[in-house]
Amino acid sequence: MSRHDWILLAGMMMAAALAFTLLHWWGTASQTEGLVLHVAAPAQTAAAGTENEVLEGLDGIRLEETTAAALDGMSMTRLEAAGEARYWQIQGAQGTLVLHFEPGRGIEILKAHCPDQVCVRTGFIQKAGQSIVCVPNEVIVSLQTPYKNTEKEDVDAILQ
Amino acid sequence: MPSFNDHGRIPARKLVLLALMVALSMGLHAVENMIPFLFPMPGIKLGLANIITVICLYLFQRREVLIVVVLRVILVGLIAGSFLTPGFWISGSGALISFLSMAAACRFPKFSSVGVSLVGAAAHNIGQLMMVSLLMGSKAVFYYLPWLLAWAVPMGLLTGFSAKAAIKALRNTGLDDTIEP
Repeated sequence: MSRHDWILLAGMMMAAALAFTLLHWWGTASQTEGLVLHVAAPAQTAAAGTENEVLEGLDGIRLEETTAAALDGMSMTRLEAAGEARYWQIQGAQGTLVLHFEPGRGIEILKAHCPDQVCVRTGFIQKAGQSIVCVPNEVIVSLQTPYKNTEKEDVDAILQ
Repeated sequence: MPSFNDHGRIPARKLVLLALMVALSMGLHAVENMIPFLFPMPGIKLGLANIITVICLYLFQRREVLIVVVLRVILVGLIAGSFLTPGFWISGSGALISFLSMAAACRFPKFSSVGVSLVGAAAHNIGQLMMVSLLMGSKAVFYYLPWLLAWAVPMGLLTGFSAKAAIKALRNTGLDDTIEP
């Protein structure tokens, strides 16, 4: 190997290391690219009235009161592109839940009216197939790859 | 087009050698097709056939090497039954882009065959990744780029030292003196 080969080798290793570093820093920012948010909620929701307890300590946050159906199918790519944190308030079977979107981190359930708080402790999800489940509230939040509508797109491959 | 002699034909000796190179690279290409998923993504391959591309770059003219590369990709596609499938396009783009960058790197005499191979291995992986992202319509596959670049270093060294040994052995036999320019 000539001297220039060694320089090239070192350069390539540095390029790979640099790429790893960049991926580490910014890679998570668009992990959610192309994913779609799915929110499943119970048919019967609790009457409003648990807000006060759930919303404690959320002063100064712009809460959007919405429904699971309105959030369902929301494009994560678009949320990331907007680049700002969002807080949504929805109704579950037991009471209010607060969903939180943070650019670069994903979706979490910030607060929930339920005894065990499993959903809150699940933390952020940001990869395809991950989900947050709140059993008492019968709410499932998950990230999915979008389904193609056409039947043709539904098959993986055709072997002849 | 290959170079022609005064009679407007490719010299028979060169024709045979080029055919031999095509056959050898097809063999290597077929072998690497049998290695399943060493990479996290199906379709991305090692680039063993780059050994032959490097050898050819040092023995033949560039356009002749291009013919060897294109023939190899098409013939392996036909034999393996992957002609015009995504796998064919992926390996084809990897082979072509690595050929182009190695042909460029070859013009700098300061790089030995190992350096040329390193360039080729990196270009091979980047070329494949570009085709994958084109086929999948997503830029997300470039998240594999760091891993593929890191892989290119050992693969480039492997192909480089193999090619270096082969070129040395071929020169010792006096073979390259018999190739008409």
